[in-house]
Amino acid sequence: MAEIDNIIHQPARLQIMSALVTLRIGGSLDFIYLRKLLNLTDGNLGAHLAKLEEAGYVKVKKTFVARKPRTFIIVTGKGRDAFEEHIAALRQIIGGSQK
Amino acid sequence: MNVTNDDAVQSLAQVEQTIAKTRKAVAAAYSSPLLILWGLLLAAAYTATFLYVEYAAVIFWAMAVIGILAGLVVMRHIKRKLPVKEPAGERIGLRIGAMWWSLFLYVFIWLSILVPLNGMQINAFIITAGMFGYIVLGLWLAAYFMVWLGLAVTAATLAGFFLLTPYYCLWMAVTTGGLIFATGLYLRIRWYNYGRD
Repeated sequence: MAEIDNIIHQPARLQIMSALVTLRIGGSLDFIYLRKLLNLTDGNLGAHLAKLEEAGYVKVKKTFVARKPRTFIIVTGKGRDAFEEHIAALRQIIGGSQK
Repeated sequence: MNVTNDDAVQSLAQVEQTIAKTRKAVAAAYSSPLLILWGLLLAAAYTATFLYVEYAAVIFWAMAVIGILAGLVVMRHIKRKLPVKEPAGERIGLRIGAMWWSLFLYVFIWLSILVPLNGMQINAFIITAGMFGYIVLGLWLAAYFMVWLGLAVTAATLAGFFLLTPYYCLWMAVTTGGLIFATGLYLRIRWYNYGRD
């Protein structure tokens, strides 16, 4: 039986994880772009990413592109598994209440 | 953690919405600059052909060369600026490139079999064959805007070919060039920036 993941369930983190798992394995999203896409503030996104990183669900990669610093966020294998389990748990709740 | 049925429904709706938004943003990041470029080039080539029909072949060859070279430059430039990095994307890009080159090769083979054709027939054939490739690619990538764009341009080409023969080039400049350019612009403004419909 799948279980609800307390870290992922928070609405902003659920959105972050949803955006990241949409990419193919190994794919990453730019921090500023992710912030804009999800309509979050710098601080808010940073804080949620720190929580997800602490849980081992995402990795934050700082790099230079054309001599400008860029930050890319990548979901880990553990993060993908946790997300899938969380979605399965949500579906079970809905399925269970419909029986 | 106690999650109610309503919470679960709401969360799943949010997940679906975010996934759709991200897919659109990623699709637009890759395709919008090329659609804008090719829309402008086609509109310019058709307008020039309407004005100087005797140079039609030169105009379209020049457009194809400029389009391919400019496309490579644009892709190289946007690759550095893209907000999405996908290692698998490069492999897919190569396969898409191979698909276009094989389609162009077949178009040339068919054209050499079907001769003699007039300029308008050759043009309508190339455009509709290109749009066929676009529809197939859209279905393959589940990027349905490509399917709709391919169908719309094909319909516009057929309407121009059969119903507006004397104004074919002008019609194509507005419809084909315009539709491709407008789609690129729409994806850039709505999908790329906000993932909106």
